[in-house]
Amino acid sequence: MRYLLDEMLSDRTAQTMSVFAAPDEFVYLLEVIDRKPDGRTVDDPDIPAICKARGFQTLVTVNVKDFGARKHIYQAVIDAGINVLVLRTKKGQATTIPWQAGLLTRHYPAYSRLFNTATEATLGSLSDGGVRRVTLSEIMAEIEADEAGKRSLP
Amino acid sequence: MAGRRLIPLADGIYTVSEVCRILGPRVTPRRVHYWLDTGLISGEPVSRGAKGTPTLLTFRQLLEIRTVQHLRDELRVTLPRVREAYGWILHHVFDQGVAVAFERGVGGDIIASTRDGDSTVIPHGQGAFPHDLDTDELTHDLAVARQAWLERKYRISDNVVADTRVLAGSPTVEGTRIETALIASFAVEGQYDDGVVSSIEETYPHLNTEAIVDALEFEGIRRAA
Repeated sequence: MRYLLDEMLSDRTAQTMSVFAAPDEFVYLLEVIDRKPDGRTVDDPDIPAICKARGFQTLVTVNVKDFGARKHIYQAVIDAGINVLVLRTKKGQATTIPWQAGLLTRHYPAYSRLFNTATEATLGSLSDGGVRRVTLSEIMAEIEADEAGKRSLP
Repeated sequence: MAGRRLIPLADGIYTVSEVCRILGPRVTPRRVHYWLDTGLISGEPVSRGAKGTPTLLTFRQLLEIRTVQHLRDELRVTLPRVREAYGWILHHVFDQGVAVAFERGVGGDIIASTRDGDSTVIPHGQGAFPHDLDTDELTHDLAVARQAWLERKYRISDNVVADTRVLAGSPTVEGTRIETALIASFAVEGQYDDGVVSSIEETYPHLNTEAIVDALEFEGIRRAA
């Protein structure tokens, strides 16, 4: 299984994971792309093609705040036969390198098993509590609930 | 999730609160809903936000709201009087993608026209338009909105953009897939200091300090005193 870390993770996380898992099992997005002429890195519609062309079976991404837009990105990736692993923060949790690497190392056996045994492209939600297989609707409802909770804080 | 229509990838999608955050404090949720409900802003929202689900708007609707707000600020007239003219402007800029210029007409009205001679009048009605109204400024601002529509990218600040091709139009550091919301997660109690900036730089070494601070400030995070 090869994992592509989206740009919102860190190249240092990919380095940590390469020591922890097999070399080249986790690769940072910016290591496999050329910037576009106007300096942009990667557009949403490019992601599935990059995964396919470079032999990644799973996209690892982070979602801290969203109300549904990301659903379309995940859908496109899954439709292309690529798994998606979404890292979910706790309230007030900074998405630092230790947090990213900690989650990915601690739950490595669980999400590896989830994706290796799946018979079709799968969406996984990874948080401190572990990995869960979820539907697009479930993860979006989860994120919306989290956001609503944050908004209602005094 | 029922009731939402699917939008193509790279079209952009926004909550009303996100629209207000991107466009600044003069745009309020109440005003956005009023403009949507009365049909001033074109098209149906992606989602109407029934029962706890948010109303979701498209990138075009975001730009239309920006345009109407700016016209409202500059012209300082009530909506019913200018609704038809605003509709004409939005249609030409966002449906036809053509440039629209403003000038003062005889009698004090404002005339909006396209290069091929199509035009509409924004009537001044009972009172005159503000004395200091700068029609060149109106023309320039509309050109900015048109350019954003053509490029599908709205510049929020020097380093922060809403690019519909990147993370469905969420505010990001320009040229990257790094959301301002993600950068804001590093702040401590709504503030940042050099340590916070260093931590972000360590995580994302390809971001410069200026871009990081820009993203934090956009998220309402202020430098600790």
